[in-house]
Amino acid sequence: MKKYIFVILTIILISGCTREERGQLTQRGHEICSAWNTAVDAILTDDVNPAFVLNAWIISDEAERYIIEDRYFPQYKIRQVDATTYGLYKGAEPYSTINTHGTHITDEGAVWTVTNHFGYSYAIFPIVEEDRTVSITNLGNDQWAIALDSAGFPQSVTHWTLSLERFTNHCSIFAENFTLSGDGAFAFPVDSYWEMQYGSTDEPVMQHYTLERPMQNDANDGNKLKWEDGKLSLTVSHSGYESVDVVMEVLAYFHYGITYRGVTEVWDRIGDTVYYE
Amino acid sequence: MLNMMFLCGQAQTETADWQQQRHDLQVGIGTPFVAGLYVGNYLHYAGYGPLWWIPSNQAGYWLGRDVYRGTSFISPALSVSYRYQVARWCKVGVTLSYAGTYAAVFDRVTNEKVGRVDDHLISIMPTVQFLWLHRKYVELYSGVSIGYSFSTGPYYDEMLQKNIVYTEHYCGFQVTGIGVKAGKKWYGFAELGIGVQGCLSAGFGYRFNNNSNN
Repeated sequence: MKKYIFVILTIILISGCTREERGQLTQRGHEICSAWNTAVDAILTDDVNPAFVLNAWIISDEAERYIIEDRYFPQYKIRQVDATTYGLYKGAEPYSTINTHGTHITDEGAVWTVTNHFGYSYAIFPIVEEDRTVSITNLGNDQWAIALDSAGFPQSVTHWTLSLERFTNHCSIFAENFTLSGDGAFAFPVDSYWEMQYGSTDEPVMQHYTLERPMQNDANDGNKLKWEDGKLSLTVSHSGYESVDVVMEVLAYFHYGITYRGVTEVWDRIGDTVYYE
Repeated sequence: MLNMMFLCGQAQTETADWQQQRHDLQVGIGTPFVAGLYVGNYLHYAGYGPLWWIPSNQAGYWLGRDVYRGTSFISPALSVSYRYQVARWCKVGVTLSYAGTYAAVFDRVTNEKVGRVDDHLISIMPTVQFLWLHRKYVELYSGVSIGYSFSTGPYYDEMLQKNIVYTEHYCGFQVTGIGVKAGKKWYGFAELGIGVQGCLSAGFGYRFNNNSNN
């Protein structure tokens, strides 16, 4: 009997012990940089790159178009809406609308406008309330200006220059070495739990950032962003709170040095770890 | 089912005089799993919970102090119960139980201790017990308790960067699937069930009557 009592008491006492690990010290900085990276990835992957791929599709013959559709738009149908506008459709719903303004994206001075109708549904990228519009302007010399027009949260802006090393495939930018330079700001609304505890607010949390060293994409299979170099400096701010500075330096693919509150650590991934309810 | 009928049949033929010791006072200790869920619920909102951990990755928290809990302890679920036997097969009463979690909160970067996150879950519940078997030295029973619970204690608010005392209110419960008591006046018991008193609990108790001759 004593043995059973001992066993029961041991189970009871052991079940009461828990422990949380301290984890990496720059965890908060990693969350902040992940949100930034996810936002950038969304703009480049869902808005900018489809424009370049569409440009390739427009100038291709029918056989090549099938190849492009299969490779880059397997889930979408391309439909010409009017003389200068094309839509990417998922079923009957337009996922995004791309206005070429009658130009090729490779024409110097060309301005393309991409309107992402599902931009707002990116729970992790709540910088617009409804459609997310990105303008792509050809500056010549394989350089394009990328400007975000977020009507819902006008605080979100991008002043980027996308520079392709050489635009050989004339299709996906991810299949090329390119750099992204510039600065901007992203606005992230606070969530309902936060408002419940600290008061309702329309003011988003801001990320003001500068690419101190251009972010460099390593050419890959053409479907994903692959940072290989670059340095990001950003400041998070919201009225009533002391702002926070974070620096992220891409040391190599899968090596991200993040500095937060004076501590620098290396992480092996960035992005896809932040969600918004 | 056949087992229960058999046991009930045995209870019917039991000759012990249950009316001699109708009062029953016991103390118990149990696994705090369910109690931990109650108090953990609040910690979840604070961004760091004892039983699961979800990073405080909403933008609003980016400006708060990044903290983590150090080693924490969840106390066993402690309970005191009083029951009165109203029939050979039934006891009614009341249970008071307590379970708590205690942990210090540290700044993740500096490892400086900045606050505490303690929770004290207290429940008071009317109780009814159904006896399957009532013999002189052994009882088998099931039971249910439903009542009021509240948890209170300090937690470290990472945005305000100070300790806040909170109170939350819940419906407390305990369902005992099977329990066994062994002994006469003084007895030991063990129970399997679910609720604020624990999934597995044990303890001892004392039976008495208000008649001093007993």
